[in-house]
Amino acid sequence: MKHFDHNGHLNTEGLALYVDALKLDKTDKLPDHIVEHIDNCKQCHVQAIEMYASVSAIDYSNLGDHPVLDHGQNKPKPTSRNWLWLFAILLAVTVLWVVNQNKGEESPSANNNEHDGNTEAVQPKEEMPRDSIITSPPIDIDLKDEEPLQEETAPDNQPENNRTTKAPELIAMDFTPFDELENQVGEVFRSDDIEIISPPLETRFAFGKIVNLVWEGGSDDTITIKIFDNKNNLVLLRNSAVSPYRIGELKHGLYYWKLETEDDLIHVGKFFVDPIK
Amino acid sequence: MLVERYQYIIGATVSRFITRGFFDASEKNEIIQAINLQLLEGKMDKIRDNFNGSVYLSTYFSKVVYNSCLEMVRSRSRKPTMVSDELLEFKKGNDLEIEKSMLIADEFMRLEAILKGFRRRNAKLLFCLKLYARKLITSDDLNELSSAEGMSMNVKDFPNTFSNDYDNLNDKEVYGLIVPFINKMENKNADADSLRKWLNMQIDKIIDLLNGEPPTSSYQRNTLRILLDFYFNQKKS
Repeated sequence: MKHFDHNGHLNTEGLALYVDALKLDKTDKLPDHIVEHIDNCKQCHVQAIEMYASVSAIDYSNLGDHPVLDHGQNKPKPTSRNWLWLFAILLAVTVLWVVNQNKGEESPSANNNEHDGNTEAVQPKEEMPRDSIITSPPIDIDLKDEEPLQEETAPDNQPENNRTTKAPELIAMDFTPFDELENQVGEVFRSDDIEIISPPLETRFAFGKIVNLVWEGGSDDTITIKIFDNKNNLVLLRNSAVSPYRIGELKHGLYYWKLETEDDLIHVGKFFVDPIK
Repeated sequence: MLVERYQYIIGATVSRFITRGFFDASEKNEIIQAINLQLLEGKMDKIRDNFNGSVYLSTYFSKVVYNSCLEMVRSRSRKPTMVSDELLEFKKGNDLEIEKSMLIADEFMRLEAILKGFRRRNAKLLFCLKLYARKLITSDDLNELSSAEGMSMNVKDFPNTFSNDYDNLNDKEVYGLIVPFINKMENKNADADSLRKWLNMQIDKIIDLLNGEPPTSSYQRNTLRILLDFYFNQKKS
């Protein structure tokens, strides 16, 4: 799991998440596995306590929304309405499955591409349908791939050339534009009452800086913000967002952001977060 | 540069280690320099590789700096300053020199982290700890308890004893007086001894965490009582 080191203790990210939750009084938003571990591991609990005291000089009120604690790690309690949605989704999945099965029977060769050595470029994954995002519970935010985290505190006895430092060309890959979104950038889809103030297109933010999304108008609309990385992965979803909307700390890379109302796509913007210097 | 922007975090972390007696105050600049060097020589690269934006960068960075300090402490095997009941008792009625005041302020933060971590029954625990520290119970305390526990309570059921000085009561007498009120609130039928056992278990857990692993403090029940007294006073002010 991404919050644990190879010894089964909380890693830097896991401990930092626990400390963030303490600072923000949001321990109820913590993933269960972190809470359980802290309850049962004195070593990690003591470290978290020490960390909490260590960060007492930091003013957390200026750090913007928390990437995890404010964005959907919490599991909403089931309500009758949720159950209806769940039922509807299950029904839809079942129907799709049946349709798919029938298709497969009609044309057995339709799904054979992945097995026949075809080396066609993989198509970028499609954005989720609007409705499914907006009506679903908030998604988990995870800006990172699944590779295990290296613990900074691990004894630094690796040979220099074995270190996990990201090569410049790998960093550059995080800035490669994504064509489909690139084509929408800057277009104003509905200009009647919402005006984008900030950030200007292609603004570069220093690593660790708060990204402020500012717009005017639209007070009668329910605004949704979506942020995608340069591989079209949805990395942040905020329903009922209000301006200015502050985003905590993003990993380096190229990002696209969309401002939407329930009915319309309003704006697609683009900004960069520079690598750590 | 990030290292430049977060110099205050490095400074604050090193100061805390000095306060706790792990480093000498005269070494402060030298240690800050050493940490900067470690960051520039490789740790910043690791942060860049490992940080994935799922926590605040400031916290993440603090943890890296904290780890650097710990590594230095381990290599020096210097013993920390223990917080003693003498120090806390002395603080009760006197102004302390800055270092000792900072040490006590640090203890507040550690205690706060522990108390915030008690997610389940946090309100009941805080309420009972106030009684344990012989703090006066106000209507705000009762309202807080009521809303946190999601239970309605009649303030009139609450014994008046705890709204006035009750230092003269021993623990057994306090639990005996409070348990009917808690029973009514929780719709239970526990006796005073069960409440005493439950609270002592929580208190021992707090003490265990405050003393650390390896031990950096030597709290006992009486010392904790004094710290709780400071803590609740500070929270109130």
